[in-house]
Amino acid sequence: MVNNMIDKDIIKFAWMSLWRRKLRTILTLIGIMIGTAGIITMVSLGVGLEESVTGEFESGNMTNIEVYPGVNMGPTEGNSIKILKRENVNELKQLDGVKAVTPIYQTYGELNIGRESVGANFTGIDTKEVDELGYQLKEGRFPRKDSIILGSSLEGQISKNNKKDLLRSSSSISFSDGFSELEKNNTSKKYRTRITGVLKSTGGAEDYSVIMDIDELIDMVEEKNDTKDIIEKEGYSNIRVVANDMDEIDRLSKEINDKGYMAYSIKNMIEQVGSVFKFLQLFLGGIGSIALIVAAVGITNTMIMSTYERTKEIGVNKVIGASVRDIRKQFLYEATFIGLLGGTAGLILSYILSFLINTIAKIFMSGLEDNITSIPIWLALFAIIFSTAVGILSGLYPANKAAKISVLEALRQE
Amino acid sequence: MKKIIELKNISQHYKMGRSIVKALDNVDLDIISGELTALIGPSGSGKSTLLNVTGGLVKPTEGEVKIKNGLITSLSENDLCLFRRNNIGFIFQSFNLNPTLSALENVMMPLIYARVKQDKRKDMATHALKLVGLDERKDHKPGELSGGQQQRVSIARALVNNPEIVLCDEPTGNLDSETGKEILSLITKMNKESKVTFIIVTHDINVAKICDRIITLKDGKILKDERK
Ligand SMILES: Nc1ncnc2c1ncn2[C@@H]1O[C@H](COP(=O)(O)OP(=O)(O)O)[C@@H](O)[C@H]1O
Ligand SMILES: [Mg+2]
Repeated sequence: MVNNMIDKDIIKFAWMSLWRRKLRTILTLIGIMIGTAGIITMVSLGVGLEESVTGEFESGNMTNIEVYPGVNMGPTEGNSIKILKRENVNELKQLDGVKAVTPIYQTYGELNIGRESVGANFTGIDTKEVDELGYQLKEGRFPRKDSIILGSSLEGQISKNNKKDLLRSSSSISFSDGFSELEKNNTSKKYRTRITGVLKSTGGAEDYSVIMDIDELIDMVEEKNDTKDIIEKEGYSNIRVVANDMDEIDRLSKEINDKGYMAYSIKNMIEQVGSVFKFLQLFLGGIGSIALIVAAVGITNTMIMSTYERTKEIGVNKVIGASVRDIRKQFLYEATFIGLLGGTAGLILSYILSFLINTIAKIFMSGLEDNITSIPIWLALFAIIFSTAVGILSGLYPANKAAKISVLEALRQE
Repeated sequence: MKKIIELKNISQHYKMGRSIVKALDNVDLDIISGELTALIGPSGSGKSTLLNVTGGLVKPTEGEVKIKNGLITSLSENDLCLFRRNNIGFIFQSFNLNPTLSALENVMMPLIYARVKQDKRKDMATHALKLVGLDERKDHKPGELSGGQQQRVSIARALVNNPEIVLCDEPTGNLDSETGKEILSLITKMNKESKVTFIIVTHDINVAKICDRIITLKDGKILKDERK
C-alpha cells in the first residue's frame, strides 16, 4: 500500500474538521498555549539565570566580600561598627579562610592626560595586596605606589580624544572643588602619576574608576582638605575581604555580620536574586503545568463531544470505505494539530514574555547586561514536541472511541 | 450462473428487554452475479437487517455470509471496512451525503479512502456524476440540490469505485413517485450496462415489478422468491 499518500489525505480531513469548528479549536488551543508558555518561561528563567551566574564566575569576583559599617537599628544594638578604621582591617585579617583584606577609600577627582581632563571615581586600595583582590587586567600591570590603573570604560573615554599610548603618556591627578574645574586655569594641585594598566570590563562601577594606592590617595585628599585625620573622622568607604575559596563566603559573611559589620558578596546577591527567580519559576511552572493538564483534559473532552456530534458522519464514512484505522488516525491527527499549534503559539508567547521580562529587568536592575531569561533551541524544540505529545495522548481515548462507532447505530441517528 | 452472494442459515436476534426479536430467522439465500433483486415485505419484516448483514454492516447472530466466495462473517471490523471499500456500494433512503462538501467532493470520498491516486480521483468522480446526469451540478452542496439530485449524487458515490455489488435500502422512499421512477430507471440502466449486482429494498410494488427477482420477507423469513 502507498502509505504516505494515505496520511496526506487523512491529515487534510483532520485539518478541515478542525477548521470547520474554528472557535472551539482556538479555545482548546489557548489552554495548550498557556501551559506551554508557562513551562517554557519557567525553564528559560532557570537557563538565563544559570548563564548570568556562570558569567559572574568568570569575572572572578565571586570570592569577594564587601564589608560596610553596621547600621545601628536601635538603642539595644551596641556592637554596630559605625566607622571603618585601620583596626577593623586588622580584625578582619584575623578571620579564618581569608586570602587578602584591603581597605577601600573612594573619592571623586580628575585625571589629566596631556591637555585632556576627565572626571573619575578614584578608588584607593592596599597596593601590597593588589594581586589578590580579584582585579583582572586587560593590559599592563598592577599599580604600586605612585602609579594607577584604569577601568575599561574610563580608558575608552580617554582614548577617544587621545591617540597617544596611554601607558606612556604623562598624567596627573587633581581634586578641584565645585565650579573651579570648569575654569581654564585650574589652580588645584596636580600630582604626577603613571598609568600602568587597564582593567577588563566587569559591567560594574570599576569600569569608570581609577584604582590606586590608598595611602597616596588619602594623603592627597588630606592635603587638599588641610586635615591629618580623615580616616579617624570619616573612616574608609568600605573594606574588601577576599576569601580563599568561594565555599567560605557564607561562613565568612556570617562571622563578619556577627562582629557588627554588614557584609555583601556577589555570591550572596546572586543567591538572593536566585531565590526570587526560584519562586517565579515555581509559580510559572505551576501555572503552566496546571494549564497543560487542564488543556489536556480539555482536548479529550472536546474530542469526545466531537465524536458524538460526528457519529453520523463517521458512520457514513465507514460505509463508503473508511477503515477503523482511518477514523482513528483522523482523530489522532486532529489532537496532534491542537498540540502542535498550541505549542507553537505557546512558544511565540514565551518569546514575547521573555523579551518583556528582560526589558523590565534591565530597567529596574541598572548595570544588568545579560538577559535573565533565555530560550535555547533545545528548549523550543522540547516544548513543541512535548505539547504535541500531550495532544496525541489526550486524543488517544477519543480516537479509539470514534473508531469503534457502529455503522448501523450511526446511520440510525438523524 | 455465478453466485456472488451466499447467505447460509442467517439469524439475527435483538434483545428488547426480556423478549427476543428475531429480525432474521434462518434465512438461506443466493444471489446471482448481475441480478437485479427486489426485497419486499411489510415494515419490520427484516428487509434492512438482511441487507445490512449482506453488506457486512452488522454481523449476524448466526450463519455465514460469503461474498465472491469469501467468508466475510469471520473478518475483523477493520478488514470488513477494507472489504466493503473495494466490493460494495450502499444507497440509503436518506442520502447520507456530507453537507459540508460539494457533490463532486462527496463522490470523491470513497476514492480517497480507497487510496486512488489524486490525479485520477477527479476524473473518476466527474465521470460517475456524468453517468447519473449531474455533472453540471458537481460544485453544489447537498443543501442546494433537490432530493432526487441528492440521491443521484449518492448513487454516483456508491458506483464511483466500480463495486460489483450495490445495496439499496428504500432508495426512492424519500422521493415523490415521478422522481422515484427516474432514480429507478437510473438503477436499472446501471444494472444492465455495467452488470452490477443490485439488491433493492422497497415498499413500492412498481419498483419490484421491474426487477429480475422479487423476494418477499415476513417475520424474518423468506415467504416468496420469484424470478421473472
Ligand atoms: N438495532 C436493533 N435493535 C433492536 N431491534 C431491532 C434493531 N434493528 C432492527 N430491529 C428489529 O428487527 C426487526 C426488523 O427490522 P428491519 O430489518 O429494520 O425491518 P424492515 O427494514 O423490514 O422494516 C424489527 O422488528 C425491528 O424493530
Ligand atoms: Mg427498513
